[in-house]
Amino acid sequence: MRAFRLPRLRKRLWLTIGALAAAELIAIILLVPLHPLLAAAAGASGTLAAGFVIDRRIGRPLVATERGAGIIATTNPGHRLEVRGRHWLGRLPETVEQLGGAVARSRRELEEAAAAWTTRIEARKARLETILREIREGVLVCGPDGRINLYNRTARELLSAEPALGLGRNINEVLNEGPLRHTLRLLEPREGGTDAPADAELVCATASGERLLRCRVARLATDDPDTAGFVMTLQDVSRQTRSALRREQRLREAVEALRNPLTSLNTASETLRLAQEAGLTEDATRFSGMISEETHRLTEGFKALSTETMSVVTDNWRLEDVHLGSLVDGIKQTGDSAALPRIQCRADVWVSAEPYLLSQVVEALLARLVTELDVSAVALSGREEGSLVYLEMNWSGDVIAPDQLDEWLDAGLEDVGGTVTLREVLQRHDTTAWSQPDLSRTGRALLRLPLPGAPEKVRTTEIVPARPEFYDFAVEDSEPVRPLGAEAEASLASLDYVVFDCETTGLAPSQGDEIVSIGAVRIHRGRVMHGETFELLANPGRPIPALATSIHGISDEDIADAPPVEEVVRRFHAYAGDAVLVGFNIAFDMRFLRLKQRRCGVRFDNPTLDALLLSILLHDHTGEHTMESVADRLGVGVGGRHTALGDSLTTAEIFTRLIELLPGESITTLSEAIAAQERMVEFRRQQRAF
Amino acid sequence: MYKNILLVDHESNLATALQFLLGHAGFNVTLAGTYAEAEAAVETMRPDLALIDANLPDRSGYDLCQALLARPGLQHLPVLMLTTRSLEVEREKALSLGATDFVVKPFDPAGMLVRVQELLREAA
Repeated sequence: MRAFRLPRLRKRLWLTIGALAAAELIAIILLVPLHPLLAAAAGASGTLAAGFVIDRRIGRPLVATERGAGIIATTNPGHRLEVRGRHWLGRLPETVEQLGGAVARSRRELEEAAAAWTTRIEARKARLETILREIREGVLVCGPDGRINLYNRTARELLSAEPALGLGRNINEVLNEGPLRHTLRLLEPREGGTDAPADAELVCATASGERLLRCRVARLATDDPDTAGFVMTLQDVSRQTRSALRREQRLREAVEALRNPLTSLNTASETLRLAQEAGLTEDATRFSGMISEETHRLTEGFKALSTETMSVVTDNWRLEDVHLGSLVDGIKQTGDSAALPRIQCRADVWVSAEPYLLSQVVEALLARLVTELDVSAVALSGREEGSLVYLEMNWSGDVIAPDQLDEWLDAGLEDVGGTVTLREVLQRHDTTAWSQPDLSRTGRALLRLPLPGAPEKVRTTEIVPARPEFYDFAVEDSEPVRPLGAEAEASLASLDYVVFDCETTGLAPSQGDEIVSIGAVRIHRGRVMHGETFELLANPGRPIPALATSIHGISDEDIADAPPVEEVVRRFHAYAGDAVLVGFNIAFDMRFLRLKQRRCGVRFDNPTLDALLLSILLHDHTGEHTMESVADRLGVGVGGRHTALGDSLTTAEIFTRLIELLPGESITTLSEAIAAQERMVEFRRQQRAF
Repeated sequence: MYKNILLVDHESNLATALQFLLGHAGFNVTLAGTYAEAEAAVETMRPDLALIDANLPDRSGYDLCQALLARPGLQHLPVLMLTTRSLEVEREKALSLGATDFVVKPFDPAGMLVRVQELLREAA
């Protein structure tokens, strides 16, 4: 028969209690008859000593184990329990850690199982993303309340001057509100069964007024209120509108400039007649000279008007910035390969052209080279010369005779029903084409076609990451954001946050220390939006002390051309909007911002949450709460420490993990989190007082 | 008695030809090319009618119109504004600012002469 054995923890507990009971018994027997008070004191001391031992060996290790188990269960299965010193918990901490390992393994298996599905979903998502990325127009998808759920690269580029652009932000913060509101009303379902139009067009300015956009808006037809809303395409018409206005002005001036010489001419003619009738020869000569002079002025005025009239014809064409190499690639892919020569293309240049018609012209000329000159291969290149880009076709063989080329150019383009000739397309690009021998290589010929260049074109690939995260389909599936009025009672996971950090010249803003950099990132429905960051250097208007530079690496040289602090604070205010502000020891950063707000004409009255205080609240078993130690505890990698954006990103990752742990403390809403944070502030204040 | 006409226009050929035309019809014409010259001219002559170009090089012709009408004894001066702008609102503007009539360039010189004579008759 197996002997009954108590587990070690219970054995130690009973031994402690037994020792305490024995000591109290002895004290009562020996001391009560002699000195009752001494006996009572000895009893109490014994109880306290036993309690102390139990707390050190059981209580504290148990709390650390409980906190650690929470972290393992929710965010970091690899977390090592912070149980320090000797304890009586036996193998409990190791068992919990082993449990964490098992949880991690289960999670891995689950992730592997999900991976197969994710791959398929990702492939579809990638296809959609590619379509969105390649759409030339900007695309924005908004919820019924106007909050932005999705936008593509072109939209981001078009709205690059709008700091409020971001997932979850309201479209009214990005575009001028009036025209859009009016258009959406037009699209609302109507009473009485009359169908509302499927879509509508409007022209409106961006909130900053930097661009004028032509937008097409369509309501998303869905019965599900969560996926209802509207989709917009955006097209920049600032340049066209500005040039149309300038053109109108020039035309008006040109017409008005004709009126004075015409009036003088009329009057001088009349006076000449009168002078001749009166026999005033001298006056007649004078007025005759006047007539010649005014006729000359009129001729000059007519020329100016004529030029303006021509520009009206060409400007009305929808010329766009077109990448010549891409245009030729398009011809190679979509053209009739049997009718085209082999094409070798080197044309990494941009032209201002009507893309479809120009591609038709190039394709038609290439086809003619095959059919009429028996050319089998053409080297096609684009070369910038001043404001023009020369598209050159180069082949082995004869030049095209001028008459023959004229015939080609006067033929209609088949794809536009033959109504437009190649020459007309070229004329409307203010150009023509000619053929000449290639002087650098004997036996080869060229066809040269100059086109207006697009020198201001910025290659979008240079400014946008290859696979940005700003169109994340997952956010569409999340719960809709509650109205701002209900913000206090909204669940923490559903709120929008802006996590930010300031680098400064020192620690005392009231004594003149200033901000030198602000970095920030948005959190939208629990996701850190790496594609929607804010990072600006600020000129503090005073030297940066060497000590500060040694911490954040920002020197006087770096900020020499940076905007002033006030401008940077204003732009950050626009970026932050009405989101909850989050920081690591946020009081420090808020103090800098709030001291600036009056001079900047803004107000930072957003609710704030502090990742540092929340960490202390959740993990009171340890005193380690530096950014590095908190990040390590929660399994967050630390990057770019002591840069405003680097610290913001680390804090954002920490914060998303902290809000996952808060429900364990019965904190699920913003008001509960703020109240808990205030309790922590009070507690820390009292601690400091002692 | 000859009627005095103040002609204010910086288009020198037009001004010279109009001066000849109006002089030939029996008017005494004083020429001014700018607002300042016109102001100086009325110090030494009292116009019975003013022809003013709306776009003077130094100030607006409408300013001159109002300044002349504000002078003692000139409150009822007939003012004919000449302009290169053909918008309908320009006529409204001219009449609102005190001009008696408004002519868009280019105009028929004979018709202009008839209009001047009419305005002087109405003013009398």
